[in-house]
Amino acid sequence: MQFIVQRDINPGSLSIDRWYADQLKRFKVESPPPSTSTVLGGRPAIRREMIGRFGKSFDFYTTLHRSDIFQVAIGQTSPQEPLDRTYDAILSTLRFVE
Amino acid sequence: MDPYRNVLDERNGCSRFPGPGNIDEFILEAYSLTADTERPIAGIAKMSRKMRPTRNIARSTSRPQSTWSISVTGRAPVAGRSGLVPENPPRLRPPRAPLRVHQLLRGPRPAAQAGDVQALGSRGRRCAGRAPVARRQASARAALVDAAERRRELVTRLIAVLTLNLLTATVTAAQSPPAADTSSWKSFRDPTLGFEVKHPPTSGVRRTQGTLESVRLGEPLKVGK
Repeated sequence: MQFIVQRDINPGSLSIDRWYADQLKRFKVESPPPSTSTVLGGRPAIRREMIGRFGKSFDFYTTLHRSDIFQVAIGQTSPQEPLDRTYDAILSTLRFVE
Repeated sequence: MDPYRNVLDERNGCSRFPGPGNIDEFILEAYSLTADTERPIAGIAKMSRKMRPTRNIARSTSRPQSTWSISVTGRAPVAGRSGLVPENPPRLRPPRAPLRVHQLLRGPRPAAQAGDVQALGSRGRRCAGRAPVARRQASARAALVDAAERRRELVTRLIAVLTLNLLTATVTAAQSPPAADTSSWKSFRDPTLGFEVKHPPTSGVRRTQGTLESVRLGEPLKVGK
């Protein structure tokens, strides 16, 4: 489980929905992986699920500061199982301090 | 026997034609005969005089005893033939009652007919002369009893639905695994990245530097293990 901050990747201070859509458009993703709107640390967020060679990955994106994007990346070996409850509990304790 | 014979007669009983000069009266008669069943055959007035039979039939209340009729079969005319076919004597039918104008105008549905007068005035006033007072009181009592029964049935159904929902929620809660207890978890705070989070004490925390600033949490022990 990794908490990542990508600096200045959202210079237009877009909402997370618009930023995510803009990224898909910019990288010309024709068939985007399933994503849903959710809440992370009390903020609107995007939850994306992908199944790859090493299992299933869950990614959460939300805005941070003015132009940064905060991401939580979780990898699980079993592609069929939902998000582990322990990870879910960790996510529920997340708070932003600015 | 020609199966097309007496087509006109079979359909509307107007196969016989009057002589020259009486065609308008004949058409009127044809309409009056077929108004309750079918439309008269179209184009009847367009027949040329050559097609009309030579025998003149006097109009009377009794059916004429003509022995000739025109065959309306759509077949091509045969050279050397008159187009007329012999006809059997007409069959006896029960006389039809003459139709009145309002019967001809009546539609197929039992809707209000033209001429029906819509009821006016209050219902109580209209019904005053019909229903006695005692009967009206009995109807009101029956309506009250019905309403009370309906209300009781509704409340019973509501209670049943609520009980079912409560039972389902209890069963679901009993089947779902227990929520993770985070009271004994450690707290991690990173003001540079701008977040804080709690994690199980068994999982390690490691800060990474580079192009992407990140914090990696080691795989925690699973709940219940």
